[in-house]
Amino acid sequence: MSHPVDELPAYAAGTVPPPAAKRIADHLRGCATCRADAASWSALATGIRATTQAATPSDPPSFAAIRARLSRPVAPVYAPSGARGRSAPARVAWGLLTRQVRVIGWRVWAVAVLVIGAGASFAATASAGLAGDLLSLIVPLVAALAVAAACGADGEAAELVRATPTSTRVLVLARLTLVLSVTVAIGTAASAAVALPRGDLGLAELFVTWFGPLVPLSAISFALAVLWRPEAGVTAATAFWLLRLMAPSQIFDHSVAPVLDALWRPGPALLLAAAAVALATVVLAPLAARHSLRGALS
Amino acid sequence: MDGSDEALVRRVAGGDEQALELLHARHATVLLRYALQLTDDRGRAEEAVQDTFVGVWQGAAARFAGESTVRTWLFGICRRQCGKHTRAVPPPTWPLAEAAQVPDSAARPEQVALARADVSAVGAALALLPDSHREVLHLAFAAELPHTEIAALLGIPVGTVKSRLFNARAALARALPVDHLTAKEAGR
Repeated sequence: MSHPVDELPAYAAGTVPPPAAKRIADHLRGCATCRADAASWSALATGIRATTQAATPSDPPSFAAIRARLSRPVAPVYAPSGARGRSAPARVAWGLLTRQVRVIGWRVWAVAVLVIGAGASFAATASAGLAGDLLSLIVPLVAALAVAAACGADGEAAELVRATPTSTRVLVLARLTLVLSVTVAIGTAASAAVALPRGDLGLAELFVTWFGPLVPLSAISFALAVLWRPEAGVTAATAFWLLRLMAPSQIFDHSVAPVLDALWRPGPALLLAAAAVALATVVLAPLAARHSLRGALS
Repeated sequence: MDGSDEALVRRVAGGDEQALELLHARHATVLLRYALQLTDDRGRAEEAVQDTFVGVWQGAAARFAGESTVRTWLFGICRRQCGKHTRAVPPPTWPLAEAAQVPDSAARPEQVALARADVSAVGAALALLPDSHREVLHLAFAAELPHTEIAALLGIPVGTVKSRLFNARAALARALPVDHLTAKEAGR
């Protein structure tokens, strides 16, 4: 057997695994040279161990000082910062909505307030039936146009959508939610201003007259604006609105009137269909964004 | 429950403070010795050991990949906490030069000198060695790490660990106070 010179340091340290250690021990019995070598390593090991032992503080290191430092970060910092705790989703949603206010732009909000406010001031002086008709013409149109303007995959807002890590679906849904809640809030405030001072008009009744048409009209406008382009949503909403406006004049075929009546006084089926259209639009929104991007690049 | 070091590290990664304390109880003393050897300063060494375990708690445990034993991994963290940078240690020409000096199997003066030297003399001579020699001796004989683990810790080949051990021993023997008997035998 060749001399295990290289293994003697580990042998002296006691870090050689048992089978190899036995082989080395057998060799040492018959080889004086290696025995001397091993003795020298062994003396070295003893000396180092003793020196180390002497330098080691007698009391073992305490864990208390470490524990005191652990208590500052409560858990291992592994969660992405800022998104911890139970209220995080709500905070993210709120942040998303409030940022959309600025992205959508003040003009949309200003127009909504002005137009609905003007309509309400007319309605306030009109008879009970006329007030309802007026609001049912104005509020849904404003909502549908605002939805088209805010949710369309065009312009700066679309650039922002592509630049942010937030998904297109979430952003489109956030804008729809924001625009509808704001217009409904303005409409409700206007209805209250119209209905409360007078006795012949219930607030709930007035609310239903304009909220009914608002739902399908906004859904159509939303779908066209997101999946195609904002102008399409604006045009469709305006077209329905004009037809509705002209219906009493009977210029058109009589078959148009029932459709518009259904739109303006929607039953549960139509409301559900509108919600389904809005949902499908949200789901398909990323495809539309990609399509328009490809169009812009080619 | 699995009480191995690896299992403890996994529990620490999951936020188990008790597992960290167990890990500390197992390894803090050897780490402190190593840190003392590296820094030569009690305060700094204790701080380095504390920093090691706080670092393990704050995220290192989650990154433990099982490439080495937990002990060697802890030694590596402690080494960094002591301000040592693994890659900066070996000048590129060293391994070859050291390898050329790996001795033959003949008995040489350092064997004789060392075998006869008393413990305190070894300790005194140890203080005269260069840091890199002292560190490898400490890891091999005081921390009792296998040579492969020392190589991984220092970022050098196993052959370099061995040659450095041999060189360290030769240097240590030269640093020992010469007694007449040894001198006579060496000159024989």
